[in-house]
Amino acid sequence: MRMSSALLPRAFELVGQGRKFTVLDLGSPTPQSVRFFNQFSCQVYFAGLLDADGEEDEGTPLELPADIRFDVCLFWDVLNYLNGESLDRVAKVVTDHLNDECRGHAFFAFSQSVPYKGLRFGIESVDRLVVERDPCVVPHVHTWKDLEATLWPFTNAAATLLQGNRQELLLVNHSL
Amino acid sequence: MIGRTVAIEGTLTAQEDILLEGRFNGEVVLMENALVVGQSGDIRADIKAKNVTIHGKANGDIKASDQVEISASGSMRGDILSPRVILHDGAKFKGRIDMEPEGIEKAAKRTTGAKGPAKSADTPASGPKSPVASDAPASNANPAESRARA
Repeated sequence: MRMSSALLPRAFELVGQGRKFTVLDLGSPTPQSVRFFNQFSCQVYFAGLLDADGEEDEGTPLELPADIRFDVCLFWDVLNYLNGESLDRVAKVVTDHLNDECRGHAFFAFSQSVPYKGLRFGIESVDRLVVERDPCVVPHVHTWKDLEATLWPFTNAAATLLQGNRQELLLVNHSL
Repeated sequence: MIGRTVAIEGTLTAQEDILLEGRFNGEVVLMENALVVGQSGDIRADIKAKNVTIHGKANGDIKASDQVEISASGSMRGDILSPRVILHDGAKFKGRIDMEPEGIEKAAKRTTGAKGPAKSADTPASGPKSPVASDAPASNANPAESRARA
């Protein structure tokens, strides 16, 4: 299934113009995502946070190379599948790896009382996503308000309400 | 070919293509040649080669001057530095991909004459292109075609 996005292009507005850019994809790579980024001079870190490959990191759910600083963070809806403790730890790790003008893109539940289906996202073009059902994930549904209660490094700059109890958010780094 | 019952540890250098179906632990240097990790192959090594194809398991960093391909049965953990990376549906990957499309990079160096990245986001788009640039490729663009255009 394909889905158009009005906010995703804004996450990329400040990158690529004369310099190599760096992207964090918190999920797993899709063939479309790799093909898309292959067109640009960039570094993409695929965290594969929900991968069930039998080699899960113990303790910290996200480990990033010390030297990496991100211009764009693609959280998709991965944060909705982490429990509160893991969410806190991911927020702390991500905070240390952001460039000043970093932007993020994420999906959150609009309401915790409405069912939230697991989805897997990839990027096909800057305003078009590839979406697949992911029956393996167990949602710990979070709203943006929940996330603001953590030490989350981003501010919500714009939001679009979508079908299926989902809202799409454009995030900007706090330090701006 | 390194068969499936073979387990090797150390540094592997060669001037021919290698198919690994067994286990290897160490370092692989095949500068002008290809390494194929077969479905039963399990490699824990840093790899330098022209082309790398993974059908089995790989753990380590890969530098490929031409292309890295991870097939549907392949899984890899580590960093990839290559101008072209192909991931098939079902492939597993965790790590960093450093992409430097050849045509774009060469064009950028010719135009700017600078090695380092620009510091301001307001820098004119004389270097690597932006994903939101008006000439950004169409959603179904073939990467090879994009590079040819660049």
